[in-house]
Amino acid sequence: MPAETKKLRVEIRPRPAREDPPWVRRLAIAATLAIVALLIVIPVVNVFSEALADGIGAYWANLTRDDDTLHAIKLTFTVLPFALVLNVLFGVAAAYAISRFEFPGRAVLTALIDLPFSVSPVVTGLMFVLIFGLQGYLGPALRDDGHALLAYPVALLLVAVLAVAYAIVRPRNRRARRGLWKLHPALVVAGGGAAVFALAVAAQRALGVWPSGKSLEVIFAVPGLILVTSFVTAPFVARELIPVMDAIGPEEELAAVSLGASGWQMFWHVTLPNVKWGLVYGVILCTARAMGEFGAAYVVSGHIAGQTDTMPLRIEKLFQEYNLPGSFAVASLLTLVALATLVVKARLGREQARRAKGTP
Amino acid sequence: MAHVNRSVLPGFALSLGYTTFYLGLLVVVPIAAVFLKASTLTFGDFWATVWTERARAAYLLTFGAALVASLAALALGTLVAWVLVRYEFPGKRLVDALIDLPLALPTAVAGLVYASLYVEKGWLGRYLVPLGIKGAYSRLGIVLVLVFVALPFVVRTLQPVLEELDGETEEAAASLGASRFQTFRHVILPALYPALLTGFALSFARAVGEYGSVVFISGNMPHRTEIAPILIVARLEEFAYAEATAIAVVLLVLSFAMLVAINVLESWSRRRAG
Amino acid sequence: MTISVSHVVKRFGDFLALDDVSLEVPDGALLALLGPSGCGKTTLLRIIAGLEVADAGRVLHHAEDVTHDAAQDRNVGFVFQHYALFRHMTIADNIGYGLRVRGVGDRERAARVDELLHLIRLDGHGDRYPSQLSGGQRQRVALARALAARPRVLLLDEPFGALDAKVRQELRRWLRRLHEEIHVTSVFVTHDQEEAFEVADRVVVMNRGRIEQAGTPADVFEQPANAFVMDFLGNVNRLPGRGETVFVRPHEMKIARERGGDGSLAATIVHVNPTGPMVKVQLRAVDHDALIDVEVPAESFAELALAHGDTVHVSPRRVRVFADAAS
Repeated sequence: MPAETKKLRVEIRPRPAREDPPWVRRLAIAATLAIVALLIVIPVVNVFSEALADGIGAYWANLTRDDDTLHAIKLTFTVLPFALVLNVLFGVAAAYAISRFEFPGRAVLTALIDLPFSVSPVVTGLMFVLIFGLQGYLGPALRDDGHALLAYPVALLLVAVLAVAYAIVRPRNRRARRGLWKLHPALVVAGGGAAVFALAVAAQRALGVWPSGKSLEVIFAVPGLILVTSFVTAPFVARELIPVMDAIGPEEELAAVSLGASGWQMFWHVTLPNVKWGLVYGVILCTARAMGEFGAAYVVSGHIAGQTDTMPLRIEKLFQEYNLPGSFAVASLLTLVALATLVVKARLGREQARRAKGTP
Repeated sequence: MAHVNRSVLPGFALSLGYTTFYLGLLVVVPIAAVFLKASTLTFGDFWATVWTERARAAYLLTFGAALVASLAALALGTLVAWVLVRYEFPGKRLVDALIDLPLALPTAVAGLVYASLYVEKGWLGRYLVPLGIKGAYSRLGIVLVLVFVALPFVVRTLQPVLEELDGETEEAAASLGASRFQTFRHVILPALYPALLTGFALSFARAVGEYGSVVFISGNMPHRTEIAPILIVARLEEFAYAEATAIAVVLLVLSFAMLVAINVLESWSRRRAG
Repeated sequence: MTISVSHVVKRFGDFLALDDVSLEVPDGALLALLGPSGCGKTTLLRIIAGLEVADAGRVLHHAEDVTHDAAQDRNVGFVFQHYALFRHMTIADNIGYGLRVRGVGDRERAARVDELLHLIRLDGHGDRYPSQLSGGQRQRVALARALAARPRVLLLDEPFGALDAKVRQELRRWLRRLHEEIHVTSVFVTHDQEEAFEVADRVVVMNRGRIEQAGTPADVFEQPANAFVMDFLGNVNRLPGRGETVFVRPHEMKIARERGGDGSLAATIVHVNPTGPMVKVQLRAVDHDALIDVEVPAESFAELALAHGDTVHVSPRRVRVFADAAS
């Protein structure tokens, strides 16, 4: 084994014609180390050093004795799972649709997925304030009778669940369908969806599920934070999965289908296991970004300590109050999350390289 | 053939339906709301809002700082990418992993720590401030934090291109008598142009939209260190929604233009690469 | 089970991949779809499997119209060109997958998997992963996976395309024997005429989305229907005849020192390849500057004492003329 590694090393050494003079090499490496030290390493070390400046006891107290800080941590971890679940579902669906099928508008859809990357976070927050804020398009309705409006999203969710169920159990074979269903399946599905939606809304009204005349707060409240966080992190999972699915190609899925697997079986047995590392990495990036969102959260949260402050917003408030150790204590937690992200990424990169060697 | 007939693989209607529904509700409708709101202003009012002296100073700072920062990130990032691809040195893997930190670190943390590093008593400020270099609460600070934010975009765009660079063309240049510097200028650099352009465009787009870190380090002084998003927040806090929206429209249109430019650049560089 | 395809048309954008193709595969046949790349053979195979949808035409399995059936309902075994083994499943899980999705119990499934592992001579390899196998082994696993659920039809897309020459040779014979044992109606796609002749009992030659000729290997080789088939199925000389082009295979020509009868041509030997039982001689016609390939048995080559630069007389023993020869 040692002899083999030695041989390998010799082979990957750059060939003489591609080699730079030693002084160039040394200078460039020194400059790189200086850049990374100045821009990245010193700030990271500084975060922990400032956080621990008054000793570990003070650090711990800053995190656990301050109710507003504790609430901010709790709030961040309340918002996070919603954004994750929504964006994982979206990312998997979008990547599958885009990497497996050709359809009109595919390029537009791909561009739309990237759109949240290029919208300034403050503008993102503004967009949702314009819709859900007190003076926004839905503002008056939400204030007067907000809870009753919940019947609509709940009905929509029901339609979505039924649509998934239909997609799983419907007969793929056209001969098994009858009448209008056979001739115009799209019409039947759309009509059925609309009917279920109307029925569900009517049923909720009749049963009085939601109190009427009660206002629903979206902006300056948790739902607004969930919305902007989902918006800001929407591209991450999809963008990780699309290249992975493209590279794997559809052949294994076709093989599963030709062996008799249903769509659902194909998805759980082949599609998902093949992209699991890409999915994990997408989720991690999504987590880091969701926990760190500042601009959009700043606008929709109203920045109320102990109520709508997330961790990054808490950092800013403590900073404004000249409570630097407290501010850095919260920052150190987010820095740890960022460092963990890097570790996992490095692991996954190595895992993928190892797998790439074994597969054809 | 990469794409399959939609009736052969299952799940076309379901996956595309959910994707368009989600994007429509979460992305398209809110963006449409911004333009709808802006359209309630007359053109005169719109112009009066987006073209005040304070707003002009904010645009200039936003785009000027982003430009300077992305150019700096381009230079530094190219060097880092070259070193990471071509040279071996102890700790290389660690350095390579650390390059991604700005992507994972919340911008508020970056802003906080940069501000505290460059103040008079900070780790770096104590040496720089006596020399007259003010890194905190200044335009320099804004550029510094934007370089931090933009660096990974340049490095990660260039790295794969450098790795796939055909070594034989360099050997051919050397065999034809070119010096190493001539080889770099005439053979390597032209091959990198598309990636350099893409890296620059990506970091510029990111820097223009950056907010979290800048509010910490800039001091937010109108006309001097106030960037355009801060202007929006200021209008919002006055409950002047239409005016805030007008400025947002300016930023949105400029970012969309950049998005289109990035896509055009990417397809152009892909065409050139074959 | 018989397969019949009638009047199938398939376009990819502007490209006409299949142009009104009709085909019958008799029960128990081992049929080769043979043609140059881009001739539509793989597309036709995928349409039979339901992995591609025809723009027009019908596909029948036995007497049943399956044109609109999904691939999962057709009960075909499909072997992909690059195997498409599930990379995260073991070999045993790969082979047993068709049974698993049909709800076959664990014990029965394990028994069938063992049986198939034995059939493909990979006993004891069940717990390995596809990346740990060689190309030829992966190919056999792909075949076992396709066979596990006892499909009514076995379809193979360039089954040996990605393998090196020696393994390919071995697998061809093995597939032939396998077919004799299990006798399932099989169709395979290949661009290699030698492979088609060696393995198949029926050959269908395709070109530009159309079927040029269908028949037994002997029929197709001995009685090519047109110039394309003649040309595609082996080396051929095009010689000027009386106002038309005459096709002659190199082994159907003879070389003599003296001028023969009618149709004999004077030619100079420009190259000799003496390896193998037939000596391959390349000549240049004296009158009209065309290159002619001739294969002569080694002993006649020695008798004639031919050498580079000699001028000799060649004459065809068998000629063919085609109406489409102009193309």
